[in-house]
Amino acid sequence: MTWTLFVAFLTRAIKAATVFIFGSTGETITEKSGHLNMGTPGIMCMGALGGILGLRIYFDIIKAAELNGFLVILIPIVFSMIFAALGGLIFAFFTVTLKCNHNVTGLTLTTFGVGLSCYFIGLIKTTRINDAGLAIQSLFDVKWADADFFGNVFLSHSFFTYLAIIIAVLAAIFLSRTKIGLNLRACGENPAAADAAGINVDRYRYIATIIGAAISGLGGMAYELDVLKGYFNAKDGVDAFGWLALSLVIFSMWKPSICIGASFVFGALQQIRFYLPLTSAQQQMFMLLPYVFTIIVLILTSVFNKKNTQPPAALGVTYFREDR
Amino acid sequence: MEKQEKKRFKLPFHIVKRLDMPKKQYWIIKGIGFLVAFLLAGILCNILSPGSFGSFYQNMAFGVYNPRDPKEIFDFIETAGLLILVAFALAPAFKMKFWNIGAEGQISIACLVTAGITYFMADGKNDALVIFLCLFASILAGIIWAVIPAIFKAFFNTNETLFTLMMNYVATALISVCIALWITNGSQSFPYLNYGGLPKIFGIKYLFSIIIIVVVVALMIVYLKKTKHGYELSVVGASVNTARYVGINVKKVIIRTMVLSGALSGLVGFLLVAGHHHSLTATLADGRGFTGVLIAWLGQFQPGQMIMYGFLVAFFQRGSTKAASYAAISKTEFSAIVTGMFFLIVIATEFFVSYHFLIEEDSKLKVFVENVKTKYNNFMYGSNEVNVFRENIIKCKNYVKSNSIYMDQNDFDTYLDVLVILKAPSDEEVNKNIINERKKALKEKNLSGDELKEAKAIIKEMELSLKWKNYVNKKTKATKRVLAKIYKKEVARNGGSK
Repeated sequence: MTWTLFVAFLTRAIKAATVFIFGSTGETITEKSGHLNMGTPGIMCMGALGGILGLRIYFDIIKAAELNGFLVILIPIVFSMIFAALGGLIFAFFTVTLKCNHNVTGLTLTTFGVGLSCYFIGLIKTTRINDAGLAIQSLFDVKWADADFFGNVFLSHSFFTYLAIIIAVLAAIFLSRTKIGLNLRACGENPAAADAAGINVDRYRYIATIIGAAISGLGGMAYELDVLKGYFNAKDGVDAFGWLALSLVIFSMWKPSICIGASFVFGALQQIRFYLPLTSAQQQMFMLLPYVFTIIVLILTSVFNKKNTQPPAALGVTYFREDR
Repeated sequence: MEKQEKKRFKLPFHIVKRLDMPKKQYWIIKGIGFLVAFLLAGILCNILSPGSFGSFYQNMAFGVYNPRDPKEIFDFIETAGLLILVAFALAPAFKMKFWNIGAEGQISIACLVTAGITYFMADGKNDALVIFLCLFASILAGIIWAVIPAIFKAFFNTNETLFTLMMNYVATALISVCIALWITNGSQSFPYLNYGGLPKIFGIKYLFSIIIIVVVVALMIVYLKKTKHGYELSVVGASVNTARYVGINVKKVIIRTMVLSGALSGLVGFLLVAGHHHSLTATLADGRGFTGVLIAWLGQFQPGQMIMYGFLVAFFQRGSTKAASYAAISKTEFSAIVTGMFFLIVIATEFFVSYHFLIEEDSKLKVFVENVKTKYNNFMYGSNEVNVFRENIIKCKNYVKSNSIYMDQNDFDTYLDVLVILKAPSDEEVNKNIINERKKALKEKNLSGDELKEAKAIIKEMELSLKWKNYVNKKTKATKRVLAKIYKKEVARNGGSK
């Protein structure tokens, strides 16, 4: 691999990592509240649909002749967050209010969300959205030389990449340094104790699930508009990213700070096959590695059984107050 | 602490777990759920492709039975049968609360093994040998894929949900790797396997698979219902500690059950390749593993219900696919939407089956007072009195809370009743004889007009007050009993010091 190719590879890997950071930061917040949201693939698909739909509405209704750089970024973000939050609301309503099983609801939501968004994404035309996709490729409007390591790797990305990192850092601070974050973690570790301490467990879980879903949804939108540059179609397989985001949460041991680095590893594993002279079998092998790594991390954390690397103790357990 | 309590938003009702539900009511709720899903599917189809509502349900029925091709009914049975088999594979694991969502991977790896063996060995002359070898190998592969998470769960308590989920994707990715390794002619897709498939019986494609499924499902019903193993599963599921005290080797049960689970999933994989697709792609399992999870859970791991849900889901999947193709909308996506909607609605009905709403005590009191007012119209309470009762009730509640005495809902109701009623004026003079005498006198006097009305009203009033008195007596006795119970509990709690 030459130097320029290496720089290009790292740049692409970070771009792919954006999707993972969004997806798994959102899911981490949800899981910290004790909800295992297996509907994340469906929610990310809905986020993708929201972003595209928002741009379509922007182009068709306002009929803007020129691309407004600010709106082109803001509209997909708002729309995808709303759509994904709706998915999260469905999940929260079923698991918190109706007290249904998390796995069952999550899997159903995935089937439903993927089906729904793939159907509508298939109907939406790509015209002009790909212009927008190309326009948002880099936040800093500077053309870096191919061999410029610093410029390419750190400063050539879209707004979404920086936003993802900011959100992950904020989430890390929120979960480990604030009182609300502590309360949220208490809901995930021991909801009965949290309830006894005066924390409204249901409300925390609702809000965590909805906000988590909204952040995850940004991942789907970033994939369609940033990674694919707006050239989307119904068979993009955003849901595959959703499953990877789920495994990334385990891989980063429920810590958004680790998640940034881990996302980069996953992104690199996903992109490296385009930059190395590999046979197709070897390429497929690289697709396998993230899951294998995740399993290894899962096994190691359970074997060493350290307190701060464990899944939230009440993960996937519905909390019914009167069960005490 | 109390200030915080007051600040909280309170719902006007209260969710309570139901202990038991009559079967009739259960099926009515579920039936409404199915119907709603069925109706919504039609409406959705009409929205996506206007004007298709009229023929939607007929087209859906074609998914089960198509008059133009009667043999298609076996396709339907096979689709349902495979789903049911997956559900039966998962049910034992779920019964012991081992959340195995790895059926997808177990099926996929069995598909891979079956396709691989058939691809390299079958040459048209050794079909029987190949089929048996495939059957054996695919079951073994399924077992291996299921046992790995089980071992880690048993010895290190590794989270099985996440582990089995990851194993799914390892299996699918492995299929892609193997296809890339085996198919070297550049086409990158697995060829159709001409030999080594299950034979047709009576010229019907899937009959062989169906027979295998029926036999295995029957055996599983016996296993779950009639054997000691099946019982041990329920014990481990109910409480690991209880199981341990009774002398059940929990680790052994977990691993044994997952072996069974994996074996059945492996069988599904074998049937998919050898009996249905005769080829291999990474998405051959097509979500069956996940759908199986949903069927097993909704069917509450009961054989009869799982079979019913298997057929229902197959009906919704195949029917919506058919209807979508008639209405010219995207088939796979529409089928996914309809199936997802069906599951969401049925999951929601599950809530109404296991929980019910109770009106919060405060508003309950209002309802109660209203009832009393209408029933015993002659003893109207002034608002002042109602407040007194409310105070009493709050006192009573606080007493119960502060002493942490356990009262069930019935006890509490009785208590409420009595607190209200003891305050009510009761006419000591009224008894049955006096009323009867009055009635007799009324008949003899031959009154008319307003006087008659007046006399009748007086009698009615007396009758009501008699009723009231009886009611009070009854309730007082009940309260005395409740209070005695509480007293006994208190005594027991304080070790007989009182």
